[in-house]
Amino acid sequence: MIATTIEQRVAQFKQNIFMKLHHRTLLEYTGQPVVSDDELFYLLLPALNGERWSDKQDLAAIGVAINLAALNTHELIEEFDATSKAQQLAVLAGDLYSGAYYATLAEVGDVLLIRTITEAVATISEEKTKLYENAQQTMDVWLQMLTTIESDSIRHFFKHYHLEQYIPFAENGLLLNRLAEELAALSKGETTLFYKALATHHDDVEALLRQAQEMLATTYENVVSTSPLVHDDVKEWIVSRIHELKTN
Amino acid sequence: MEKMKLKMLYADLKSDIDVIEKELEKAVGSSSHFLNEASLHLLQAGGKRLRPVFVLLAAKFGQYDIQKVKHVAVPLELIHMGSLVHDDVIDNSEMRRGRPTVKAQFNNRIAMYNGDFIFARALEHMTYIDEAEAHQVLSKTMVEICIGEILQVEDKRTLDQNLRDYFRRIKRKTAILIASSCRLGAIAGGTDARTAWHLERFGYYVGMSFQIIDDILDFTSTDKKLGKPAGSDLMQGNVTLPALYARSDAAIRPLMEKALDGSMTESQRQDMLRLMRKSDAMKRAQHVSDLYLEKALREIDALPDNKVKKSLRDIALYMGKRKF
Repeated sequence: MIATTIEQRVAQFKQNIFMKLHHRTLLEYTGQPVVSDDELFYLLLPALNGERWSDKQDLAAIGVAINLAALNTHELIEEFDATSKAQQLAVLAGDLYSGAYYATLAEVGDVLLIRTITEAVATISEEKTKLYENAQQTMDVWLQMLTTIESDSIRHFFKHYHLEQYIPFAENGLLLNRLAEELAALSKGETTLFYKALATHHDDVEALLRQAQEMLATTYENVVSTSPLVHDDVKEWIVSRIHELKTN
Repeated sequence: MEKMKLKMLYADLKSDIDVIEKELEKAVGSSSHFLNEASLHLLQAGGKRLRPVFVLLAAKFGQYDIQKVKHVAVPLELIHMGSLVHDDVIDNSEMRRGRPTVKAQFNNRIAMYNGDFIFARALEHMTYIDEAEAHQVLSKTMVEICIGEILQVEDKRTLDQNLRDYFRRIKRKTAILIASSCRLGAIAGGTDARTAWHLERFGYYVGMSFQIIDDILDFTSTDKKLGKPAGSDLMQGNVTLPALYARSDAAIRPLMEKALDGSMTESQRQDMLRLMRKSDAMKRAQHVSDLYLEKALREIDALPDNKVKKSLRDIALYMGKRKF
């Protein structure tokens, strides 16, 4: 599958999700559901890499993507002032998407799938809250928390369908993406929650983040390039994305 | 006192309600201190546990097994709890049931995570129910509740709206969850389709009556009993049935407009409450609530003979006449 086809497939999948979640008022005030191409790429990675992918799996993947949109939408809520109409509707959009992901997974007709995804959501919510708890942690623990936050739903989805071999790709790829986002926010002078959590216990947060990004990018690129699992076109897409994230 | 009365009505279910309480406590247990604190705080604040009670009572029309039924009763209470946490963010509420809200205790973000966590735990519990219909009903309910809340935000601070808009909102905001509690109880108990249908209708009518009473009490009750300032609904921009009936009153309307645009002073709030309580809007709203209650009681009559029918009737009547 060549890069443009990968992108087309991800774009088509995203469009399907937008159509499923379409709501006139929400579109006006909160925009389209928030789900990134990277999240969708990693969610669809086994299919893009030619694994057997049933209609039910595709429906389940839609459910997981909607779940990502639900959680991402709640990230838009301001800590101390959510009184605007757009903010109020963002709260409800996230809740609506939660109902929609449950409805979609219920359509798959597999209660164990619902259980595993909801377990992931509970864990992700716990890890996000822990960022506020101001506990002293090593950098490895912080990065593990971010990994869970970014990829646990996808990890559980892969595990459920016995596609564990793809878990490291989703974990590393989405962590790298998050680190890039953290650094981008920092360069704009914004302080994210993760930055604040790190800054409580570390002096030069930017250097720490850069170092983590550099190390992860190098290791991940190596893993991808030498992996016998992923096809060349998929490899190419991932490597090019790693470079893009490093230079941004 | 009023809560005591309600507990008396649940007396026959006490041991099963205790099972539910323990499960609720287990369900919200978390490795995050903040989430633990927030969720336990919510649980300890109490609440009427109406939804679990309706699940249990509905299930008694079939093969009742608390070990199965609890997996429906617990999620419904959790979904109710989770939506309250998120509602407090939307309404910017500092107090609920006389205690600081999660958003006031921590911040909006933690309230969002807390609600998401509680929803997730609710659905996790539901997965111990195999019946596909149960998942379809609950997921549809969750979606409908949100659509109702979106309508509420759209209609906010609009005094000139139809009564139909109000009924459409409360149907989705409250009645559907109580209707689904009854329906899901019936599914968990394995009742026949006709019984499940009457139970669902009963829950719907009781829910409508209950919400109208809630909206009346927001004007007629005291700050202390409500655990928040009386008249809060209007001050948060939510135009309820008593307000719709009173809006044509020349003395009340300007005060309502002040409540809606956020410029109301404390003495104006007191004036508005005094005038509202004296107006016939309360009686008119109560009459509508009574009509729904009568419909609910008719649904009970249509149910097969079962000693639980008396409990359903008593709770419905209590809800339609409650004072808190």
